[in-house]
Amino acid sequence: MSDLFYLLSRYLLFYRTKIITLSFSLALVIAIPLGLSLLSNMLSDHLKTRALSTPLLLGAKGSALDLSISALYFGEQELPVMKYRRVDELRESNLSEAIPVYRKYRVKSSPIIGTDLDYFDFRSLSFKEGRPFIRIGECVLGSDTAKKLDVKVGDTLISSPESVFDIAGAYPLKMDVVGILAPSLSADDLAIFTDIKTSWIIEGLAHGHEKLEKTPSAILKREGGTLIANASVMEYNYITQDNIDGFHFHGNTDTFPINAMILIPKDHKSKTLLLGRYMSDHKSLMLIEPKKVIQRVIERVFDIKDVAMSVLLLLLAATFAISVLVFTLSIRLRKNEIETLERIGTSKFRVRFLLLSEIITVILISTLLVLISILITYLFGDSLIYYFL
Amino acid sequence: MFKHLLLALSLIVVFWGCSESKTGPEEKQTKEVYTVNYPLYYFTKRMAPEGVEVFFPVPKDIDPAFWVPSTQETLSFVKADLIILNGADYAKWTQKVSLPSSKLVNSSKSFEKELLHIKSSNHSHGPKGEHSHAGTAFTTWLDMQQAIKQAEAIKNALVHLDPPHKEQIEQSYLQLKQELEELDKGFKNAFSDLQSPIVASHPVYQYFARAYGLNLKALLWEPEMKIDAKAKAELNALLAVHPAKVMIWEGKPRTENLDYIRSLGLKNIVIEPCMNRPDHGDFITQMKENLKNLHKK
Repeated sequence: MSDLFYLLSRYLLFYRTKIITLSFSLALVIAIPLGLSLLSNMLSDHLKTRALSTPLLLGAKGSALDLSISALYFGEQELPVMKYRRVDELRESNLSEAIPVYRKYRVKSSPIIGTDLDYFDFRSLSFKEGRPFIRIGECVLGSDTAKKLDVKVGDTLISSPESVFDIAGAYPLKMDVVGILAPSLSADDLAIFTDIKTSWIIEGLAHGHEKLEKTPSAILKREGGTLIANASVMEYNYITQDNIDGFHFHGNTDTFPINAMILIPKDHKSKTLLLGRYMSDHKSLMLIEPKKVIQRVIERVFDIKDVAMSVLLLLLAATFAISVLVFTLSIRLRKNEIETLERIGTSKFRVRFLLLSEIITVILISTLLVLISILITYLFGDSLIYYFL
Repeated sequence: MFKHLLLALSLIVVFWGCSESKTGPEEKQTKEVYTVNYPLYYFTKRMAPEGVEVFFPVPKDIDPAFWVPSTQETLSFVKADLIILNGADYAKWTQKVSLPSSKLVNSSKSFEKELLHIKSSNHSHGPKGEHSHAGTAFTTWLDMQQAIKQAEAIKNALVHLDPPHKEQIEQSYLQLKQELEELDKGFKNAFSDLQSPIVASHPVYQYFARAYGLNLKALLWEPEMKIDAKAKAELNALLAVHPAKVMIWEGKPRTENLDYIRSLGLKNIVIEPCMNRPDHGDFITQMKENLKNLHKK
């Protein structure tokens, strides 16, 4: 048999370009649909996990998809706001816990999420370094955000201005980084978390300034026991132990804005009651089940995937037909070689073995390439989805 | 044969030891409850069952309403299983910190609509600098009926925290409620025949005055301060429009202050608001002491 393998190896080496090209072509048309299917399943699982772990979302009336993407994945969708008093209303109803979410500001490209401490327990987030925020002006970073911004616990960050052209808008606030979260392979890795009151300070709904009694030039007028400041009063843009007492809210915090609220119903009955209360005909709010919204998105993605797969299957069929043509032509071209082998006494079995070996070699190489690509997709698919989608 | 027997015996001992450690008693989980003032600490401690530890970390010489916790103390609050707040804007530090909302109990929520709002200018006492009583009056527990409602809110929170001990908590609450009802009755009786106006040294008796029908106006004095000419003028101006016969102090005043007030024809009475731990006794004994002082008038 060694003579056969010698002939085979010399043949494959001579026609190596043809063999490699055929193997790669076959591997590609098989690996692409398989990889696509695997990635779409992983994407579906990834989206579903986050949505399944969030029982209900409450937001101002608008797009359910925008609310889901913004509240679950911190997407850039502009959401209408609702008042913070909705949070207290839900909590007092004793039907569910309520976690506010306010996403409006950023530090460069990383979103600042105003929320409260219950968010970390809800998402089972642990700390790689430091601790949760416990005061206004403190923030906690997702693991990837910390790497991207190159900051560590003890550093400070400044919120980005909303617009360079809006000088009367929100002004940048310097925040202390007190904690960095352990990686969770979720949108939380890419965010910056603060207390919701800190978000309101960035918005300008609360501020701190020197005591007016100490800066008479900043006093516009006195009305009874109340001092009214003029525009020259300097506001603090960094909250420290020395000036934190000076920070105060203007107006009732019940009217301050949030984008969304994560609801965790106490039991199934409470969930049903909440859905009944908010689902139909509520004028200004909508309550959604994220898993249903995301499921509809996934079904749409799978519909598109099915179309793509149909096209790829046609391509596979075409590639297969071309391969058959190439092998048939190859056998025709080797007619003299086959005749020579028969004349020197090679058995028909050995001749057929030589001819089939080319086909088997192409199949083996392309199978190996497909397996390697599927393995890579399986091992790195989650990271791929996470970083690019 | 002997070797096999020895091996078998050793294995038996090893496995027995492992199973013993598995069936040993489970480690007890202690739940922690933090409070922002002494009356709430007292109510919670009265009702808390075994396995629930109650904390009130404010130092004795500091007014809890204006105390600011350190980072470590704030973290202790954050890690607690339950945080009992007074409500009525008490402990303004809670507005500047992040406390997990699911663990917060506003003990005055049930009578939020009946809270009183006040205007006051800044004043100062102690080394911490100026502060103001403007905003919402916060000594809610000085109205014994309100104190009962606060105790009830704490009771409900404790039952939610530790359901197996519900009966014990309810029983403790009923005992506390009865004692507070008796105090309420006592204060009502003590003031029933007092028609004349009253002056208070400090603006901390708003709910007390409302509950027990007192015609009360407050100064911004401290028991230990020296009554200077300005303070005297302030008092005289007040007495001109509010001819009080009784001066209520929030603590034992200096002898000179007592003498001065007496010289104006007013009686001195100490009614300790009990914001922090009393020097002796507890909340109930301190309120009983206040009642005794009233009867001495």
